[in-house]
Amino acid sequence: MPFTPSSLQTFPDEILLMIFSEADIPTLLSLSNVCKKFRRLSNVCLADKFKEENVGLNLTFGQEHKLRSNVKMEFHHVDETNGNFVFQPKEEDIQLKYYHSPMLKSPKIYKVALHDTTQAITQKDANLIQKSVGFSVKSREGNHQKIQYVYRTGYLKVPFKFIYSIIDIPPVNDSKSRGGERWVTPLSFECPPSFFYPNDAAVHRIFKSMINYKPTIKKQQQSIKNSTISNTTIKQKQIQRTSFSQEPQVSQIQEPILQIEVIHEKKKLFMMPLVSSRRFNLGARS
Amino acid sequence: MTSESSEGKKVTLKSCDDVEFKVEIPVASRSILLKNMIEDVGETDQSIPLPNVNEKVLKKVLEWCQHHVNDPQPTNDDDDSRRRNTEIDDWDQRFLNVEQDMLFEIILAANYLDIKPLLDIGCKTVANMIKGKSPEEIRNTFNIVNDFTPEEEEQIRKENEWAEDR
Repeated sequence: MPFTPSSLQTFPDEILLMIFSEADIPTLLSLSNVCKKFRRLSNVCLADKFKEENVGLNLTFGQEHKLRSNVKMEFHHVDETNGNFVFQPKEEDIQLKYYHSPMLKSPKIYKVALHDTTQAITQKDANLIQKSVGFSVKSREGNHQKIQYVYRTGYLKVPFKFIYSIIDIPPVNDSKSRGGERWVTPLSFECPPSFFYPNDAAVHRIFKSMINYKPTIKKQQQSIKNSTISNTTIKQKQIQRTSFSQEPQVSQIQEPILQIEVIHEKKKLFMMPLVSSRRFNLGARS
Repeated sequence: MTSESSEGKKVTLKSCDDVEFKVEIPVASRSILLKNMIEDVGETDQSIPLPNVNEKVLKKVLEWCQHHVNDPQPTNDDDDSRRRNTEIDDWDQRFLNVEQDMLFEIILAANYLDIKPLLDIGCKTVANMIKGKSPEEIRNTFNIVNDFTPEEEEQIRKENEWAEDR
């Protein structure tokens, strides 16, 4: 009987899945960069973890460093066509007010952070994006997407996609419309699992600590239920703040406000789970 | 071949390297595979061949079965909670404190023989070995070949180009 030395690599999938399901999130991320097989399997486990532990993302939006607001996204599903994790807002019908004006920069996503209730994730407050992402609000309506990427392990480009809808009709009918007003509804945030991979390259660690080096203000996340916009700073400009109301107002609007329909036509652009390039390990191959 | 299997209480198992073990039926029945087989076949003096398990591993697995002979049989419905909440007890820890190859063989045998509790603690043990390690450390510990090829890296880089398409 030939006795083949057993290796984890030759283990059947179902056993590896059992082993991986015992692992915590950082370990799973580590496993996903070991080899192709592990990547595939650890992504399955990772998706389960995201599901069961109610891990989500916290997106911080703003424009010109004002109009700050946080939106909590929860893990929704794995896009089977490309292995991407899809997050959607916890609350429905969030509307964030921004302005389209040649005088103003586009609104931005300042921060994407993991939020969860377990201590499994160590770098809880770390910003997962390396620089803020502007997204256009030029359009008056429809669904839009912004694709950006972050770098992981120093040079691996990891894309992510933010899908949102825009409407220029205020949600409450008593608010006087001002030119350039746009209401943005976050629809989904999609990224491959490697988006969460901790940046382990030395260079990157330094880079990251530089990003994170700032006096951190510990603030409770503001509830998005009541007010989606924190715009105290520009209140005096007599901008009528239209907090989002539960009832859609019909009088002024021709169509239902929200036509949530996630764009899928560009989906094919979203690629398979990223395979990390580990150049320093080239020697390990024959 | 032995001729004493008609004692009623025992069954003969044959490892892939042709070593026979005479085992009490309750012990062998820790393995769902063997349990079903014994139930189906009834008493037999034929030895049961186990082509996937060698002597060393089978001996070890039977040692576990002997020790856990009085454990309640696991049921299917509490699968997840059981795995999550069960700590590996001292005896099992010592039992699994073996060389890595042996540990893997035990896990594979437990899988083949369908001995869920043994499979669980085996997987847990491996998971503990992996915990907190970097990809490189995992590769080194478990002798895993990095199969991400340079061509793939190139391919990935190309695929990623779309990210710049704003």
